[in-house]
Amino acid sequence: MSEAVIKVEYVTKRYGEILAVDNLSLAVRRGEIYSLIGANGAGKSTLIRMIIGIAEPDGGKIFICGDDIATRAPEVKKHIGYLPEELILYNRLTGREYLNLVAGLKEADRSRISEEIKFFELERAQYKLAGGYSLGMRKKLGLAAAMIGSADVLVLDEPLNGLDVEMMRKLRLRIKKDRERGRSFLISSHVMSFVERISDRVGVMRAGKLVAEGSPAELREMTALTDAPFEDVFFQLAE
Amino acid sequence: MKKLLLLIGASARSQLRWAGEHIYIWMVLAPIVLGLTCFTASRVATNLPAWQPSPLLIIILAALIVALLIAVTLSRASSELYHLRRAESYFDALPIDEAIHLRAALITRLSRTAALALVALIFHARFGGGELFDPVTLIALALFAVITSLAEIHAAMNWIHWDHKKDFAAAIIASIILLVSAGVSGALLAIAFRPEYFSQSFKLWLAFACILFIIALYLITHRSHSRWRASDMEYARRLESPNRLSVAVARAIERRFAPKTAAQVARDLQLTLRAFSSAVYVVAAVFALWVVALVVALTTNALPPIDVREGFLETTWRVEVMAIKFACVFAIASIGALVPVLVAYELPMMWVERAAGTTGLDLLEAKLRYARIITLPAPFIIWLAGLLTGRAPLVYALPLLAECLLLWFLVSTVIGSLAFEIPNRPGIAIIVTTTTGMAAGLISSMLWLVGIIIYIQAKDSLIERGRHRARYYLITEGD
Repeated sequence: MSEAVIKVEYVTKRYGEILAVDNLSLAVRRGEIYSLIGANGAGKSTLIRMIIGIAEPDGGKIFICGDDIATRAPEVKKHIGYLPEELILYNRLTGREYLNLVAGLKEADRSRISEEIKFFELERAQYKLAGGYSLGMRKKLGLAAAMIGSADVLVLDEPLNGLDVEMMRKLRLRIKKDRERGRSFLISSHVMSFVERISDRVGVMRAGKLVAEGSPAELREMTALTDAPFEDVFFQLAE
Repeated sequence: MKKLLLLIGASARSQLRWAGEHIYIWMVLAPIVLGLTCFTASRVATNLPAWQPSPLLIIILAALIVALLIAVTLSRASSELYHLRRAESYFDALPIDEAIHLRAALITRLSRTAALALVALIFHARFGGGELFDPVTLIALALFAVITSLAEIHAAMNWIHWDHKKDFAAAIIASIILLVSAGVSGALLAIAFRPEYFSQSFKLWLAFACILFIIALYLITHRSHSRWRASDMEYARRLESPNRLSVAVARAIERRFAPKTAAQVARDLQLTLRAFSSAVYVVAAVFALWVVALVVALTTNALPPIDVREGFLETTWRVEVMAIKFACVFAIASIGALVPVLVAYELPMMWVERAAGTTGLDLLEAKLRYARIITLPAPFIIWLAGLLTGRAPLVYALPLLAECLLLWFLVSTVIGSLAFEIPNRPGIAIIVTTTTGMAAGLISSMLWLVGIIIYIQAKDSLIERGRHRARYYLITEGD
């Protein structure tokens, strides 16, 4: 559990006068589920965009499986699976065609596509054009695209938006199962009950800074809120 | 290479499915509109037999066309390169070399420019007396497509980089490269359509120079892209930020119109002030060209000498006055071309109107007001430019202003009413709306009374049709 698959060192990101991420450091270990929580605008999505290499830090370094993402971006991205908060699809490609494309671009085993389609219950929709997909179907397709391949770490930005209760449960169990196989997860979510149940460690962000970090139990201890809902723990830490 | 093919294949498959769903547009409507445009242009050209431009002038005119083409495609090319609001944005997180993204954008550009060149070639062969399979023409057009596509990507990349970093050195180098590209592409266009004007040695020399230029331009573009992509892509996605002017405009609009109309018009003007598309720059440039053309026409001997009876009422038909009115119509129509571009841009976001219970009439009303507001400066500027040359009679200044304002009202009303005709094909919509607007305007500029009759007769049916079209796109989500 000691090897860090994601290592963020003193990273800063500024948009004009706004400091989106402020000298932040964190590490996600192999086989760990790490959740990032914070209010809107706390800097979670900016941090995630820098970790997956589609935004450039103004300062600091990010290492994925020991490689600096700034210098070896395409190779480093092979280690990452990513679900964006808002996934834009080709409206005139079917779900299966889209997954075939993603598998090809990831150089992943295409035989896994059918498994993922089955897992995310997209069998009936797989040959329909993605333009007609509901929010939930789009999210499931995005999750399937993220899961395809042999990424060491999955970065999931708001994975629960649009999912029904049954699929949320399935996803939680799947994440835990994958974790046992050595996969790591970095999850950003506003669903506190999910975060508490699934996470090994939680990082609380406020105004671009990591203001608290620890297991859900440790965060409860910090706030002395042992029986209160996890939302209350978050509010106390993020205030 | 495999990843590049996958990217291009997915995009092509998606485009082909679109084409399959919109057969009427590209099989019937587009050829009719293009055919009519080409037929009119060729008739105008044959009616000007005395005009024998020099090869240099032809190259300059062709270079201007290429420069305009590059300017028109700035928004689209930057979107293709940096995947703005596109499905390809997800692929930036996948293990794909950034050079593949550049090549994919180049191939997309190349396919569009090549299609344009092919259409031009077919019309040249059909109406211009050229040959379809002339090797010189084909080679010249192929080189033109490659250089123009590279220049479009280079321009888009530098456009974003300039906005982001204000790097003067890079901007100057890019400007020089684009000037050379426009010049070389212009020369190739001139050779393709007027090969008899140029010697064999010039053609050979130019072809050799073009190949070297393509290699150099690709290497420069590739180098700049690999250096700037990471930071400029993030910046491009965050481009639209509010400014004080747009806030002031919103407040002014809110005081004058009904809330539903005001909200839409304010949004439309804010988007325009923030240059939602490179078309905003293009229409501003075209408008400036009309002003320059008017001043040149009035201060030189370009206008034909036509005798008109001297009298206050006959002044409206004096050549100088007619030139001002014509320029006014062209300028208003040029700015009005923004309306279909804006509607196409807003179409995917129309769920806001849908959710707010906006009616077709509300939508049309807003676009009508928008068309009138953005074109309003044109009659004043053209009128003032005409007066300042000293060729328009001062005694007729106020009636001329009234005529210009009537033309503005008529042309902008026609263009605004047709805003929802073909909103998902802005290229064709521009031709339809501006041609109709110009037709009404040019007839009215010859006899203002006709303009008033046109307005009274056509207003209700135009509004009714526009309301139905807007309602259709509101209900069907444009599919």
